[in-house]
Amino acid sequence: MLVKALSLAVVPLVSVPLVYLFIRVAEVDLGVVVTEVLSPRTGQLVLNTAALVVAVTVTALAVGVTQAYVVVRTSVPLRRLLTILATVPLAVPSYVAAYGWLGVVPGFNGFFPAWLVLSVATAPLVFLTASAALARTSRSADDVAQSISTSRVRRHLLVTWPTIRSSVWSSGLLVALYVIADFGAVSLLRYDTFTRAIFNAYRSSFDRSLAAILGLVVVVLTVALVVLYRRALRGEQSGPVNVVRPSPVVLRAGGWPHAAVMSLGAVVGAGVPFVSVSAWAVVGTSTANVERLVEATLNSVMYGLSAATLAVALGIVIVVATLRYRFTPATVAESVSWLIHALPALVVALSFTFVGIRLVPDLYQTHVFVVLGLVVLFLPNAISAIEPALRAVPPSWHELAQSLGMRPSTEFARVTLPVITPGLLAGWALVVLVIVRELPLTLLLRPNGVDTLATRLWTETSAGAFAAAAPYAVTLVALAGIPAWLVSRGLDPQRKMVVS
Amino acid sequence: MNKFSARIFAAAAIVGTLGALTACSPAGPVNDTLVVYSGRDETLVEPIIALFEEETGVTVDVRYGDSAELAAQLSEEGAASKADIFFAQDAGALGAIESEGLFRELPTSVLDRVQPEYRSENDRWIGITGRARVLVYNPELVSELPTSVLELSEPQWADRIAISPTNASFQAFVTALRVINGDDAAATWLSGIAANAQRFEKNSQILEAVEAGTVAAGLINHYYWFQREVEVGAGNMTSRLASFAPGDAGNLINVAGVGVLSDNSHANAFVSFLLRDDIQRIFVTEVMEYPMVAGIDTPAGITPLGDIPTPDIDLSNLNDLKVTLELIRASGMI
Repeated sequence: MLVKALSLAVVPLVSVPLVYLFIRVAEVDLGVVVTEVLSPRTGQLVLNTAALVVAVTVTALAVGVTQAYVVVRTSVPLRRLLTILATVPLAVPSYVAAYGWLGVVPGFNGFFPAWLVLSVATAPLVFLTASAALARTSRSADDVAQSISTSRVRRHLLVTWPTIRSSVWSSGLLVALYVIADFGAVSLLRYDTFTRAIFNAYRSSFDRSLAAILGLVVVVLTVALVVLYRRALRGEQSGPVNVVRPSPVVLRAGGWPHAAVMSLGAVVGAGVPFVSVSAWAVVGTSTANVERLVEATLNSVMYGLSAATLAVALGIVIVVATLRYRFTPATVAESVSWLIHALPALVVALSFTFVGIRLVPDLYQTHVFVVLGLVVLFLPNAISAIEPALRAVPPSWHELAQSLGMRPSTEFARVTLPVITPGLLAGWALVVLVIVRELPLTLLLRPNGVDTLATRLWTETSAGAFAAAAPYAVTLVALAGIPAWLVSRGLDPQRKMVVS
Repeated sequence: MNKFSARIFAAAAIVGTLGALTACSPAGPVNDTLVVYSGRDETLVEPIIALFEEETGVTVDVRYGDSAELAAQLSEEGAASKADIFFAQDAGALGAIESEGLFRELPTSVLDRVQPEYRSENDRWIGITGRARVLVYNPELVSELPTSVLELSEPQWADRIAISPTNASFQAFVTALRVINGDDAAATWLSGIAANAQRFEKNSQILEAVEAGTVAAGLINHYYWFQREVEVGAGNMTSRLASFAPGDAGNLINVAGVGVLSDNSHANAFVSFLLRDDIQRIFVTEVMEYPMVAGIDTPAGITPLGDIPTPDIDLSNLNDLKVTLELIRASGMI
């Protein structure tokens, strides 16, 4: 069975970082490990990280779900533009966002700034997943609810919430792990989390063992989050689904004030960094080489498209094997990929270095290797969009198709795929966006001399050539608009859908 | 399925797969290629590497990155690494690779070009250029310059001085402070500066804050100032640079250096090339760094090498670094 075989193959791939951490920690004296794990500093890091994770996750969920609801379910003007605006902050590397804020507000340090920058950066993760969920569910239930209760809050609790619940949990987990793994924002805004401590272990003391111990602590703590997530999802039933969309009538709530409030996230997330970056271009005298800009753009696009497509394909395989066939290795692959997602990308890159040069030296530091690394890093982003989508397909449909003698592949193409398309599209766009912006892994695993927009941006800013950096930052954000635009097409409830 | 989305997916899949497949063409013949892992900025190093390629016909494949991250990567690659040269921003990263036993011994002809303080005790790496620690100050906010870095921990500097305690250069300076003034003096200084200082993650942020006048002065590496002058144009800088009295730990020089990782015959030639008089002069005039070879003038406008202390310490010694980090940690700054 192809699905099972493929999901089995994912297990070793996503386990690479875990194996690496175990090997590094095993080299250390057990006493040292225990002392480090029980030190007051580790305790402080747990508290700091947990506080930021909770604050950002709650904020991002509130903002992202509200944005999704307004865009998909109301008659707010400029919906397509708002979709793009709500998505674009995802493409801004967090260190660029932090730089941008520091340029505008000097002394922007500590918990509150880190909370603000990361909340805005992660709200699109929720927005994309939640709006896909809203787009695939029927509004007819809404209409029924309206006849039962006049309280809008009750109606939402009764009807809307169940349809987006699993999307909310999975994107919430995604946000939490993003916060744990982020380095750019917490380092520039000087808020101590595990990731900052791990980077400092490499940078200040060149201590790979200490970094690995901290990394393993992160993994163990993340297990708790993943278990919580699985609990929340247990017994999750598919909501009401309509493939053929009902009447295009939407709530008349909204209007220009709503649109203005909706754009706030984009202003904070992309606008402020954008203004700061433009200021670099005005002040500076360095110039960017056009040929290089084009080359970096092409590489970013190539990595984004190939890794996102592969991640979505593997994501479908894993989710189908988990939900349809209850195939344990697929569940393991999914859980491990969530754990890896909480690790700093630098650790994942080093683990791929360690294993890659020993097992597949010919593949090491080739484009294929970068793509594999990116897929492992961002598989959860794809899964977080695909899983709720697939849960929305009632098992009875699948069983009915089987009883009619449909081959599984035919069934998938004709029954499942039409329902999960908005989810797939959202997941694919999400992965493209995060890949285009990815830096630490690309930097270490890329072939010598190959640049992406993110690596060039890093090169120019670290050399202080801010004016030369500006075109790369602008291209990055402009490029991010394309997948965002695609998603906005897929989500527009008033667009005529062709259903096969 | 929505036909438009289907088409986009199909196109993406095809483009992506083709891109990934066609792009993994094998590297050129090994003999005429030199692989350099560079923790130094591309903008600084690339013109000099181009000169080497032009002169020798050797193709140089450069992997740019952060010095410490590249050091971690080289350590993970171990003996299987394809790298021939590691060009690092600071001695600590070089020491990390030396302690992994990955560097080859350098030939005497190369070693003799540089004073012993600025190269490995075991002949495994060598300094190429130096960067001095300096005080950057805003003339509108600072009327009297300190003669020693020790003054900065006194109450009159409360909230007026900026530092970057996570930065490798700052940490190397603290090691120098320990060696020159003793561990106790260093610990006292650290607790004073922890109370006084505005802390930043990067040297460039300190410079920006001093330029903007949100802090009176800061401790940075000298070349950040010159880099920024190039970016905004001469005459557009508000801040000024100052050194402390001769011999003060605050004037420490950090080296950027190289080590050889393979027996590629071009590797030693590359190191010799970097230490050649004409190339050292390029580093001085273009990058405003200190030459490591005797007989070459230091850049105009920066502290002469004679006024810089050469404490009897090995900045690549990771054990010294460990003690320094413990002291900084005890001050609560990292």
